[in-house]
Amino acid sequence: MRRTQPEARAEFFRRYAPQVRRILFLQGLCDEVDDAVQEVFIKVYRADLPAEERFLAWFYRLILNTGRDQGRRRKTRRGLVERLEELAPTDGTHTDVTAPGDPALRAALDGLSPDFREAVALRFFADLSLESIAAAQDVPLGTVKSRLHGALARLRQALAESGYEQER
Amino acid sequence: MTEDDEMNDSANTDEDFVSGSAGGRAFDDDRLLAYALGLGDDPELEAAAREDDALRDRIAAMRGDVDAVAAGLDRVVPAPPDDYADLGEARWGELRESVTAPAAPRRRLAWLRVLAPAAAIALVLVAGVVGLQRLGDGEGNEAATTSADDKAVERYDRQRTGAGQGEAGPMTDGLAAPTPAAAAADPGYETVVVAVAAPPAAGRQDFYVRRVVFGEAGPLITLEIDEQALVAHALAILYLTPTGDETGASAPPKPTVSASPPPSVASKALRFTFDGAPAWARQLAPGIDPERVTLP
Repeated sequence: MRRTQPEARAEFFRRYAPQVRRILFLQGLCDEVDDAVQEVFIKVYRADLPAEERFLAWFYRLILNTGRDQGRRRKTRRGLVERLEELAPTDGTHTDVTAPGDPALRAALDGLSPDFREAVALRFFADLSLESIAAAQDVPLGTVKSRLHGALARLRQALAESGYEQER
Repeated sequence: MTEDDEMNDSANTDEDFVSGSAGGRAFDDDRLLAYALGLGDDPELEAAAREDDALRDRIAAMRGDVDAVAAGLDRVVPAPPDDYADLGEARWGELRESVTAPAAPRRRLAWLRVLAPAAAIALVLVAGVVGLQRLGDGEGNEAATTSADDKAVERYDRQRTGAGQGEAGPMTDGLAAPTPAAAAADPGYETVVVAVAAPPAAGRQDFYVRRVVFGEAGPLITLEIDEQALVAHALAILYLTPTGDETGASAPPKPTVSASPPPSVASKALRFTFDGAPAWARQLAPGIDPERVTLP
């Protein structure tokens, strides 16, 4: 029953690495995204961890900060649209990767500010509550609501304008 | 004006986002959005929607928007393959070292390393001065002084050696550092712990152990959700792995909490699965001291 420290660390990585990758990708990382994922978990394992009730907010803030730092250090800069286009076809596990509304959705994501994309990523990839997103982004709850509301409106509008709604 | 400000201005007036009538305008779009995102029950909104077709349409439209965006995001930023987090992959070489590395010392240990010797020296000096004064007064009591010194040294040794034992390290000890279980009556389960719930994900929910009430447990416990997850960040008592005659088919009895006034304990226990066997979680009131939770 009792798990050793390496087992617990490995399990934590297996559980959270996929969503960390998606969050970092939406933050703007591409080629370097796996390095950033690795950096996140190394920081966690080496950190003086906060109390457990504050751990998740701390963890997601660490992810966001790592993504922002890596983004600033990035040498090659490509648009999000270009990187998203690269991402979808190279993932062999997904065959339905190009739906009619996707180019418009990629463009709409590219048009969102980083803060808005982070809120979207935390909500849809990490399944965080509004309160947890506010803690991770270190902003008031109302700001999170307006970010999500605004982001969803733009993304939905992009899908509708591209005619994707009719083809669902 | 920042983008946030612009969005704040437009958040509740964006008719493009939610098409429909003016029905149920007592409920603003933020509230509908939270409901549509599945971020919690809203009995008042649900009751109003039962009486108001237009409000129902607004909710349905909002849910449609959220679902469409979620599906689109899944396509343009797909989840990585199942073996993505396989630590055997070459790309995780540096991480593998961290996973198997010993626990990093905590910052407060550094303080202890500085302060504990200084405190011990001060104690010895004080004891020495007191002893000399007593000898000088002709009232020296060698045995008593030695005893005081021994206790001071013992205290120092305990502080010095105890600080490193069971000290929290990243991910395992650091997440929980659960208190060992005291002797307790057999609750019919191999393990009973008080733990804090993490947000559920992928049909599972993690719990960070605050105290082991019975049996043995590590700092992180993962349960499979049977019907409903516990509210994230809630404190709960978990019953894991039924033993003896206990099958786990029905919820275990409520624990008792020694506090005045007695805090509330959820009447409904939620059923989970742990290692293929039934497990139960019962939410405790916020702020309960885990040390005060006892089994009936």
